[in-house]
Amino acid sequence: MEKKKIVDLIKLEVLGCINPKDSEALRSAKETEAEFPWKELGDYQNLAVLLPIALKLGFPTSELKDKVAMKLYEIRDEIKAKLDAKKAQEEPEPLVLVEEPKEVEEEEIHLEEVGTPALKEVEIPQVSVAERTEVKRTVEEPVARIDHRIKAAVDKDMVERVVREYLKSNLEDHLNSLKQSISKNFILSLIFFIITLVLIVVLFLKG
Amino acid sequence: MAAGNSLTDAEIMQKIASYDSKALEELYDRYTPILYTLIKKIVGDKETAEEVLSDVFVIIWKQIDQYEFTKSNVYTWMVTLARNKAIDVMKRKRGKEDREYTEEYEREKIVPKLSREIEAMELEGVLGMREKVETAMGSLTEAQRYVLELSYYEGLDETGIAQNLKIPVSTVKSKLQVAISNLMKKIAKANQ
Repeated sequence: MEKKKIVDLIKLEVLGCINPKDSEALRSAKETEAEFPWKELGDYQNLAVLLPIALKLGFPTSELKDKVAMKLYEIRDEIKAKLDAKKAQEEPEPLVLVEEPKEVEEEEIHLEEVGTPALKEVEIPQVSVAERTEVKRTVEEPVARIDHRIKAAVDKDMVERVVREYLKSNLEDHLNSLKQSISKNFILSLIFFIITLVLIVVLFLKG
Repeated sequence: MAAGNSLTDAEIMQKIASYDSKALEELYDRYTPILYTLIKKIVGDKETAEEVLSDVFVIIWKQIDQYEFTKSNVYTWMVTLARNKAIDVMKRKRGKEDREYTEEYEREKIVPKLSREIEAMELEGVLGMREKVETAMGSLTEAQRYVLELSYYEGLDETGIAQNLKIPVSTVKSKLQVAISNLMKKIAKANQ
């Protein structure tokens, strides 16, 4: 749109005398025209508001001030809410703690319950990247922990089995031989004890 | 008083943004004569003018976050707001506006949107221009003054003015454009 045409519409707008079609054209020009005459718009806005100062000044009743005060009092809750919102905006955002899932007992773990289907069941709504990351983290972290525990449980079983097999294959023979040597030693000790006892009795009788 | 007379209009607005009621009281004391005069000219009777004026201060209190502090143009913002509100009240009375009056409507249609580039204006400075404005208005033709008044104070659009004056819409448009251009030139000349 030509600058002259825009300025003509500005003149009508500041007087509040613009039809809806021209008003829309001007609104569009404000949004799209790189060379929009903002200075002219400002000058004409400042000019239009000078018209009332040529009027003879009048004054309302003195009670009006109290009436305004009463109206403001009536909207105090609304203002309080705005103030609270403003305060909340100024304060740093509190950290959102993601509730840790309860530790799952090893005995209760069933592989079919904790696989990827659990992830598929979680529908991620249309949210921001930050929110998506949070949702993803909230869902994936517990699953990862459960997977880790399952792996740990499986590894423990395996270790126990390997240890048992090792004990069985390598140490059982040693244990048997140890048991045999213990019984031999026990018999020898008993023989020596009897001999010693006989010698003591012989010496006592001679003396 | 928290917001004393030494404060500029812009400083008072800053205090109002923190919901300082004393600052709003100061703004009321300063602006009531000009706003009341404008509103009464638009609505006609004293009672409605007072009602509208009190609504204007409620709007300022509620919509202060819509005021653009960087522009420091309290006067233009206040007067435009008061005019928009008064014209809206009259349009509703005449059955020319039937959209629901909501917070969103208020932000869109009543609260002014000043230009990105606008010179700062405060009440004190504007009141000092009274004589120049009167002279400039006096230099316009009667027809030019009349169309300006019909649009600014009556809230009539170009079609309404055309019907009122029984002249083509295109003539109304050109008369308004010439009238405000002349006014601009006269005031600029008076300021030189």
